[in-house]
Order: sequence, then structure tokens, then C-alpha cells
Amino acid sequence: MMDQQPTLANKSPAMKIGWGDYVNLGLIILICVTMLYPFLYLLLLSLAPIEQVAQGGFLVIPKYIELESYRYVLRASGIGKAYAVTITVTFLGTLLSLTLTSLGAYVLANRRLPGVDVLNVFLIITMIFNGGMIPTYLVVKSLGMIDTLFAMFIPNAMNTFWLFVMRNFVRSIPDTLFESARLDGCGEFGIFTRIVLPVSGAILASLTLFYGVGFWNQYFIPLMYINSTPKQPLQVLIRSMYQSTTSMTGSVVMSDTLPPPVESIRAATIILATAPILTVYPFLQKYFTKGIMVGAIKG
Amino acid sequence: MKKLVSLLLAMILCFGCFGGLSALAEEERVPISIISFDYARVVKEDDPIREKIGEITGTEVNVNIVPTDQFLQKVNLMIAANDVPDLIRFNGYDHFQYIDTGALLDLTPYLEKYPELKAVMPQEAWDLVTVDGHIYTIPNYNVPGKYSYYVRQDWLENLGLKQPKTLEELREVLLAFTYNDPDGNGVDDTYGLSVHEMIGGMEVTCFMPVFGAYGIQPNRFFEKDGKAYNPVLTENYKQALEFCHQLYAVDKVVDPDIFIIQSDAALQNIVNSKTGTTVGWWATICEAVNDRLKMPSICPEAKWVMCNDITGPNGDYGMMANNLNSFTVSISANSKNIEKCFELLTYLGSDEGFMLSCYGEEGVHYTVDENGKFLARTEEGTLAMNDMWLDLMSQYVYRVMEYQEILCTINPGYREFQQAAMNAKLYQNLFEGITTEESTIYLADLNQILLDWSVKFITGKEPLENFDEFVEDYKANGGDEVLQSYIDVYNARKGTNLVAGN
Repeated sequence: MMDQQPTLANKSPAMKIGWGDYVNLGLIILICVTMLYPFLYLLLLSLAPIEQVAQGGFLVIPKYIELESYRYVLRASGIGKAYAVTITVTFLGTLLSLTLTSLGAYVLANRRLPGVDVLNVFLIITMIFNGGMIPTYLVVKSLGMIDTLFAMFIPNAMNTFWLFVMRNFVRSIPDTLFESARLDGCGEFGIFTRIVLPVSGAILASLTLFYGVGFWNQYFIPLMYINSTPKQPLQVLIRSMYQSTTSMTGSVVMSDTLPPPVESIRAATIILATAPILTVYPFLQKYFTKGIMVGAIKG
Repeated sequence: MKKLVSLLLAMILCFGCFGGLSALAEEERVPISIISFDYARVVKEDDPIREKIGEITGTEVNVNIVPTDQFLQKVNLMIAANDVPDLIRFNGYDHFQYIDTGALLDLTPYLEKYPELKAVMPQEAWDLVTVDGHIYTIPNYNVPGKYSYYVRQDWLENLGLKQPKTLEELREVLLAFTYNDPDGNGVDDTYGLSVHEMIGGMEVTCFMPVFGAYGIQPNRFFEKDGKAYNPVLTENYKQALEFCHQLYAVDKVVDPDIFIIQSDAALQNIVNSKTGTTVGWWATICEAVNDRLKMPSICPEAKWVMCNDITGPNGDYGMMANNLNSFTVSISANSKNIEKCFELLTYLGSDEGFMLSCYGEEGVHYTVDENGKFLARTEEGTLAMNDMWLDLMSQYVYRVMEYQEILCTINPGYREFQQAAMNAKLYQNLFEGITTEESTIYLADLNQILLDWSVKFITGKEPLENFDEFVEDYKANGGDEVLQSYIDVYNARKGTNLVAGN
């Protein structure tokens, strides 16, 4: 029998809706507004006419909806290519990462494997220490991946933290399942595909989310490894566009013509860079909380 | 079946031959790769102008633009991995730190062979990048006069005042602007002085005309009678701060947010007539405020005048000079196409190359008058300019005087603003272009100390009697070391014998 948390809807008459509930509701609404408003503001900013924005007269409702900012950004050369690059890298990268993580987790979950403790320690060390930027660059260069799409998802295909989370999950699957599968003549790979993967649905979904968002937001790695503009992913291109619309200050000397301080163009670039992933997130979000706790100790 | 297969194979072989022949028939275009920091341009894939430049010079130009914050990191990586592109475009004088790595080509022997390229830049620009008689980068001379002090002419007329020429007159003007309702709207909502943005990386430069009137500008080291002085440790700076304090804390004619206001909000203040005077870039009023933000439609009576010669008690006046070299272009020492690089750069600096890279193709992106001189941009040209790819290649060999001239032809209203800034008396940095180990270590902190103390003096948190404490604090944090290191390098380069003055 499932215990239902007492919500406002199904509180029994004995538990009245007290002032405490209203305080909670108020606080939660306040927090929601605090989180939603910046995004809403950006959205409205990107749709507002440029003069109104620059004069600062615009508060909540723009005078009329103007799509010129979006047109400006989408007309920018290379944005289609940048989208294609980012989508490709996200797709291939997530696929590769999921494959490697799940395979690795399955192997490491086997406590009876000779040397598995050494492997675990080895992997933990890589979580803490890192070779440094220049040695990593040299390794990627020697593998011939500089200025290719591969550099954006192969060197960072595996995240050790998620490997361990999934390993713990696989360990939590009762051994009896595996035994019976083996009795039925299933090989290791068969067990992997027929037992482990189906059961891990929740955690694979959250891994998809984390890896996917990670690949989508990549900025520094493509900056260092990609040299040709057609191969730049979305975030790098968006950043260049954003920077081109701000006036340069500080040690950077301004060019002879001041670039326009166009807030709405900047807002439009931000929306275009984050909107796709934002729309995917809610669908996978329900697996998020389930997935994180799934590797935890069970009774 | 076998016959079919062999026939197929023979056909493929023939196609292969044809393919090879056609490749040979095409002219070999040398690929030149360029890397630069961000300069508000985007690289368009099928850029017709880049293609045309490549056609004429026999090259295939590939540009990679890296955001400024990570630019030097990327250059470090590339040098470490020996993977440097043919041309590197550095910001300011950043290239100096790479000379020791041997990654930059020594251009001195080549410059003899390309006199047209050498002639594009004046000798003083070349001198600034010469180290021990060797030149490792091509400078790009820019006019140092870039700042002006703008005053609302219509407000002066409304209040019956004339242009301020001395500090006392300036104070009167600011008092009137703040308290006498200069825009006549019946509301007490105006300030005398504001600023449009951080200039030269320092917030205190909003008081530029005051500093100039006292004979100094912050971070513009100067020489007097064989001694080199740090301007912010002098008595003049203290007096200037006193005047600023008077304006800010006593008279309250200065926008209280002046030290923290962001550029966009500050521009809004200007457009909404909340402020009567401001220090700014030469293009701030004519381009940003009037053209982009359309101030004339909000406030048609607004008129501006430039007051760059406000004189102090000793007869000094002047504005801060910008660096002479805004960016420099170096060639990689391991480049396989050194001669081609020079040819490309020489072409970009030539008359034809300059017009092509800055304005596009004649007839397509701009029109000419009967003398063949630039007349106006076409619609296609304007669109390409707004999309920021038209003049991608213009920022490598920059012929600033012609560029400014044409800019004023397109926008005649700009000319007076440009001239005012250009012709102002300027305080130049004696040590321009010099970066030393000490300056790399200490300068950021020293600037912060300068800013903190200056703001405290101006707002009144610290009384000006404690100026000596500021001097001590500054020197205790490396002030002397930085000055001395600058002097040493300067003496070595110029063969002089300066000593530290303060």
C-alpha cells in the first residue's frame, strides 16, 4: 500500500489547511518567480523593439513584438552549420558516452573480477588529477583529432563520477538474476543487453540528460581544439556574436566604430542557444531524481 | 561479368586521370591560416571578399577568431604543440611575451624587401615594436587622440553660460547644470557630470579633463629633466583629486553612481538628458547616442560641444592618449609560406587592397563618384556591414587616416567629433609598449589600490591629508619596482639614462 503524502487536495478534514501552508505556498511562489523572471525578462527583451530597449522604457510588456533580433541572429553566417555541429556532437557524444559508461559499469560491478580493485583506484585517481591543458592538447594532437568534430566528444566521452553511480546501480541488481540467466545459457554480453540495460532505464535516462546537456553547452574544449570556423559549435558562435554586440572596454582597444549596445540581440542569442535544450529537459526530468538516488544503498 | 568489371575499372581509372589533370590545371593556391582575438567581426563561409583577395594574391585565407579572454591561452597551446597558424593578430603589445619563445618570425630582414608595407605605418609605430634593432611584429598605427569631453551646448545656451575654459568656469557650469534645471522640465533630475563607460580600463578617467588641467593623466608616465615620474604619486594628482572631491562630495554635481554605472545605463542617462557633460570615445555622441540610440528623435534640441582644453591653475590642459598601436600582426617562425604572407599583407596595405578589404567590391558594395573616390555604400554593402563580415580582412593592415576620411564621407556629421578628439592635446605614456615581469606581477593590484584610494578621496571617505598614506601603500605593493623596471627597459631600448623621479 502506498502512503500518500498529505497534499492540500486530499487532506483529511482532521488536518486543516493552516496558515503554515499558506506561508509555504507563498515562499514557493516567490522562489518560482525569482527563478522564472530572468528567463521571462530575456524572452521579452528579445522580442521588444530595439529603440524601446535602448531607452530603457520597457518594463514588462513591450510596445509591439519585433522579430528583428531573431532575424539578425539567424541571418548570421554560419549559424545553421553551428547548430548542425552541436546537434551532431551532442547526439554522437551522448551515444558514445552511454555505451562506454554502461559497459564499464557492468564490468566494474563484478566484484569477483581479478584486479577490479586496482581498476577502481586507478579510475578514482583520474577523477582527482588531470594532466593539464598542454599535455592533453598534445595527446589529442598526436591522435590527429585537432580541428575535427571528434575532439569534441572523444577525449571527454567518459565521466568517472557517472561511471561509479551506474556501477553502484548494477551492483544493486540481485545476483540471482544473473545466475538464472547464466543457467539458461546466456553469455556475458547477453546478460548485459537482456538484463542490465532494460533494468537501468531510469539511470540511463538521467545519464542521457547529463551527458547531453554537457555536450550541448561545451565551450572551452571546442575553443581550444577547433581552428576552422565551419566546425565551431553553437556556443562558441553565440559567444562571438554576443561579444561583437558589446562595446569593448578595459585593455581591449575599441575599434573606430562603436558596436551597437543592442540588448535585444544579445537576449535573442541567449534564447536561441538555450531554448532547444530547455525544451528537452522537462521530458527527461522525472528520471533525474530517480536516477541520482538509484545507486544509493538500499535496505 | 568479368568483362563488365574490367570495363568499369577502366572507366574509373580514366576519371581518376581526368580528375588529376583538372587539379593540375587549377592554380595552386597557398593556404594561409590566421588566428586573431575577437574584433567584432564574424567569419562568413562563402565570403566573396575573402575569395577575391585570395584570387588576387594566390592564397586561400582562413581566419579563426577566438574570444579575447581565451585568446592568449589558445596561443600558448598552439606554441607548445608547435601548431601555430601563419599569421597571429595580437591585441596591444601582447606579442612581446612571445619573442623569447622563438615562435615569432624576425621580420627585420624581410621588411627591406617589402617597402610598401613598411611605408604604411609611420616610423614611430615601428619604433614602439623594435627590440634591440629587431622587429617581430607589424604594428598598426592608430591615431592616439580618441577621447573628448562633451558638454550640452543647448543647456549652456538655456542658462546663458559660455563654454568652460578653466576649472572655475567648469565648476560653475556643472553647478548650473545640476541645480538650475537646464532642460527646463521643472524637475530636479539632472547632473553635471557623468561617464559613459570605463575608459582605458580605469573608472577614475571620468574626471579626465580635471586631471588634464592639473598636468597629468593616470597611468601616463612622463619624463621631466631626466627623471621619469609616476603621475598618480605626484602633488598634481593630489590637487586634482581635491578638485574632484569638491565636485563630487561638496557641490554634489556628479552622478553618485559614476564609479559603478554600466555602459548601457550610462548611455541611457545621456539619451534621457539626465546628464549634461560626459567624457567619451570620439564616436560616443555622434554614433552611439545619435545614430544607434536615436537621441535626436527624443530630444531634438540637444547640441553638443567638445571642451578638451579646460585649463588648470598652471596653464595645463589635455586629454589622455590612447595607445598608438591597437593591435599587431606577427608571422609564425615555422610558417611554410612566409613570402606569401608578406605578399598578402602588402596587398592588404595597398590602395586597392585597402578598398577591397574595408569596403568590398566597387559597384557591388559601394559606389564611387566621378573621380573614382568613395561615394556611398550600397544596400548590399550596408547589409554586409551590419552582418559584420564585410570588413573582416580590414583589420590586419590598417590605414587609419584614409579609413577615418571615408568614415567622415559616409557620415559627414562625424567629422567635427573626430577632429576634436584627434587634435586635442594629449598625455602619452612614456612607457607605451613596455611590459616587464614586475608589471605583470604588480600592475593589476596597483591599479586596484589606485582606484580604491582615489574613490575614497573623491567621495570623502578618506581625507586628502592622508594622500601620503596612499603613496606609501602604492609603493609598498610594488610601485617602485614597476617604475624602475619600466625605466630599465626604456633605457635599454632607447639608450637613455633616466632615473626614477618618485
